[in-house]
Amino acid sequence: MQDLLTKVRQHITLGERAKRNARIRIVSSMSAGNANSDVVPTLSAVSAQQYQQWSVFLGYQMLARRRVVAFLVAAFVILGSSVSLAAADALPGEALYVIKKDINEPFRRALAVSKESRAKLEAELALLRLEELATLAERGSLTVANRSALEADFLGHMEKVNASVSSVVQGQKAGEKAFFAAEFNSDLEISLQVREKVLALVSAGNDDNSVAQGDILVALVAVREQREAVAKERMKAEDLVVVQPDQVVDKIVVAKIRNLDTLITRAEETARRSLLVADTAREESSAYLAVAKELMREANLKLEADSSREAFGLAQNAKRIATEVLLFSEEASRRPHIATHDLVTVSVGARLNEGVATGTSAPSASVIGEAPRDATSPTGTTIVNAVPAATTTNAQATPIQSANFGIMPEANNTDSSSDTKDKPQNDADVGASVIELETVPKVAPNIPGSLVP
Amino acid sequence: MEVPDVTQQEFLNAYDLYADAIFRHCFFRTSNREHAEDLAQETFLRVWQYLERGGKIDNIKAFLYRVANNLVVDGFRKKRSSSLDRMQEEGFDPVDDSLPSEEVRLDVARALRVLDELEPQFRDVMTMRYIDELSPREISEILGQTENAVSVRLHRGLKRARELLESARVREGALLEAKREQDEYKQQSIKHARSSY
Repeated sequence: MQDLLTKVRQHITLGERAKRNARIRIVSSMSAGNANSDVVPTLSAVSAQQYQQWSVFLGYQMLARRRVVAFLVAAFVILGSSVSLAAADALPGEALYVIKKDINEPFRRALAVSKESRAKLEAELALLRLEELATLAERGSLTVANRSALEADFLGHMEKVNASVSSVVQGQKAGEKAFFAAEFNSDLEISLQVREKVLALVSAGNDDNSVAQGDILVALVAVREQREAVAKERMKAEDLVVVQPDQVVDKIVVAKIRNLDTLITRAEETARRSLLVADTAREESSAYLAVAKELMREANLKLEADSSREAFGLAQNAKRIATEVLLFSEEASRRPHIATHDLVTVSVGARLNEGVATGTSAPSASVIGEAPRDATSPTGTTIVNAVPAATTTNAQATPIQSANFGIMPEANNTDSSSDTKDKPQNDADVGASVIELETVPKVAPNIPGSLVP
Repeated sequence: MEVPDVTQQEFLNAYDLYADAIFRHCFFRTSNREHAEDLAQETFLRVWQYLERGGKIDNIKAFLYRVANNLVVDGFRKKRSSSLDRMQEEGFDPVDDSLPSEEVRLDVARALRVLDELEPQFRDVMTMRYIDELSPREISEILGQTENAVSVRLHRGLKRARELLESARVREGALLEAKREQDEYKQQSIKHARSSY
């Protein structure tokens, strides 16, 4: 089928005359200054000034916090580890939260001796901040102050993640470092993606609280920006993997496919046990995992046919799909109110756009959105209304355990020679094509500069 | 709002660069050349209006496809009944008469028929991937969905399209066979009629 479409596309053109006539009409419209459009997407940048405004406020918080910390350290010594354990689920605003942030987490940091474990820890802490934010929003306890503090912490952890990953990759051989960066960033990207969806659903449940909703939307934009940055790093790393020598790529792919089988099985079990109650949600999860299995099978076939680079792309794609199902199913188990939603119809972009349309976005922060859709859109990008806000869930704000965060399978004895092979041609096969090696250019090559004045 | 001249020129450059591609996208989404021309023109007009209102665009290509997609979807809701079959029944053949050969014409008709039968959520990603040659990442940006979701849709869409194409081939084969038998029968009838005299 793809051959047929590729074959026919070249024969369908606008035609010079039609193209010229349309251009004339457009130019005359430009001159006349007509404006009656209502079907365009909105694309605006988020202002970073919002964060600056809160940094002073955070400074005051820190001073007050130090006195509390001194008291609580004393209490910790007296009461022992039970305080530490009790603090694990604490949220901002609760007394034990200071223990969690200023004692437990530094303690964990001290235990993370290797660069890989530090990178993983910072990623877990970044996700934990988002977890706390979502839980506060669900309980109706989210305020501008704690939202901005959590967001600042989240961004701080993400900076540390980047620094840690960079320091990891510096010390390794070419193949290993590319693979670590690809795996780590892939896992983190999917984790952030699932968090975005959870936040979008929580935001939908706060329709009667425009302040909280606005706060969540601002946080959502920050998460999306970070996810996109991580996605770029992931793609760069994947590009590096596929230019490694054959024997390096072979080893990587063999180990990857072995782990993939376990991951897909785990995702299936989690989805089955989870509280995904809606039929569409269960069906969608099954469909996703069916695709992941097919991609894995195709990866195996490619590997057997000595096309290990294509196999890598297929396996990478399968892993991302299975990881998303796994993480989303886990979220559904912890947050029953999202259990009626499936992976596809949760549209973060639509939620951001709805926030703009209803005027609940935070002041001086605009959103990256998409064309407004209504409920009858055939592309299914609308969010189904969530259950009412401030549900008293028992969602545990525990560190995220699911993603591997770049734990490398046995890919030792890699050859760091500079001998590289050409990149493979883009395969018409869907799986390989998902991990494309090109990046989306910001501006078309023939347009001088950018259209942004 | 006055848009700087340099931006006007850049916009027109973008038109020269992408007009064909956007038209092609609309054509394979709607199976109607005239409608596709209107949609393509409207896409550029809407983008210009957006710029006039002070909008900023980072990636003009993705932006154009996004607007075109939105217009196509809205157009679908209005023109659901304008199926390929109905148009052909009414004597309007959407396939371009300027195609170089009958073989190409048949291929295009076959492709359109399969696309027309595909569910909308598969048709859009299939068109973007195999007609527009957009990467899954670009498609995910345009549709506002994750790459995983796009990947799954592509996979399922391709599977479905293959099934439809196979059914179409079987039907075509059966029709050709029936026509051949009919021709043979006709030939034999003529022969018989001649030999009777």
